[in-house]
Amino acid sequence: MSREVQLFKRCRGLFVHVRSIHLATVTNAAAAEAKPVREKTFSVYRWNPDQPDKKPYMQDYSVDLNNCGPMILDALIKIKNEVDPTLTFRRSCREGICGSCAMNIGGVNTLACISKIDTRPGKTTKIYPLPHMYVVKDLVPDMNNFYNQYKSIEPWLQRKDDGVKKSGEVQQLLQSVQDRDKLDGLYECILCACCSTSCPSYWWNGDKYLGPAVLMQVSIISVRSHCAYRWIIDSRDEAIERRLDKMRDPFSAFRCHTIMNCTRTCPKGLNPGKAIAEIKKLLGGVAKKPEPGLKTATLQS
Amino acid sequence: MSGDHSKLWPIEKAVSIALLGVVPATLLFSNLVLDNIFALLVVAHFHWGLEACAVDYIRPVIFGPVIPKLAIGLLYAISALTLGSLLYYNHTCIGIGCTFNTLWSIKN
Repeated sequence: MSREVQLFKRCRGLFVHVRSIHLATVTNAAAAEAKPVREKTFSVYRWNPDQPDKKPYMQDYSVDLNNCGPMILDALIKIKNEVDPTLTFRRSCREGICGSCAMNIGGVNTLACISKIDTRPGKTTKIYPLPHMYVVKDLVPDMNNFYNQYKSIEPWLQRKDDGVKKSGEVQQLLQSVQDRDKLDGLYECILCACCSTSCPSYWWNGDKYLGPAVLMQVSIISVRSHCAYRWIIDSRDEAIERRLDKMRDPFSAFRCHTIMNCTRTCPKGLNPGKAIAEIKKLLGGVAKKPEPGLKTATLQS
Repeated sequence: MSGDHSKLWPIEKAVSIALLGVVPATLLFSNLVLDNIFALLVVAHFHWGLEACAVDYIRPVIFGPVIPKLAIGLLYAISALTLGSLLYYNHTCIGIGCTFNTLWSIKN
């Protein structure tokens, strides 16, 4: 008997929690009825490819913040559900880990799901697609160029013995804790393209050499360099020379003018500008990739 | 616009850092050697900066294939002319350092 009592005592916090969640909807709804209406205007970029003769325009939507979640994405979903189902935007995880809802909100590239609605009265929030991208519809940009650029950096571990068939049971690669620490601030990138599309160099030269044969030379600046650095600096990767050789031209990395919009806008708080600087140092020969702290292939036979 | 930029990049940065010392040194100890180094480094520094501007702003996507090349060519001509003129000035007149120093003595 005493065991059941103890079990109940342990779970009591959980019961209370569940109950308060259930009550929260009721109390919130009651509070919303009591509160005065808090109207908020969102001015959203609209363009429909099915009406090619109609130019892009801004459409205003009014939302009562009392009946809306705290984030911009909540407002967009509410508008799409209740006001205008034709409004088009990408979203998926709604918690800042998928990068789908990257857009330009109030002049800043960020993720709609982790950017709070500006609740100051009388303020209109303007929402545009990511700047300088081809628009598919409304807030949906065409990411093909961006993804092709990402593809071109070959974002996977490359080893000198990649072609060799290994027979041992254990195929893991070793990495020291210190070497792993070097990937912090790099691996968190979710490829939302906020940094690239905030970069004037990317705007100017992002589509410079389109076409598969020359895509490798496309000015890729933020995404390519930042993402490429994650693979360049990984102690388990052995293709640094080949990776660097693909970036020696004046565009791939050196078109970066250290404007630092990328670092300023990154919704994940990363520092692509620094990663590009590290790449330039490696390219210019003023820095060298350190030797791995552990012999990476020790476990393999 | 292809080729290897990674050799030039460290030189660009080295010139920028060197200018921090060369500019005050030229003003303090004006002599022919420093004047010539000043002229060379400043023109190179300006040239690379303006070349980046030309590549970024006057790009083939907007201006077509010819005008960007003309712009770069014009920039090279201007830079060469500037360097030549400054060297000529250093060798035939009072030189860059002295010229700046005379600004302070205009009152006299």
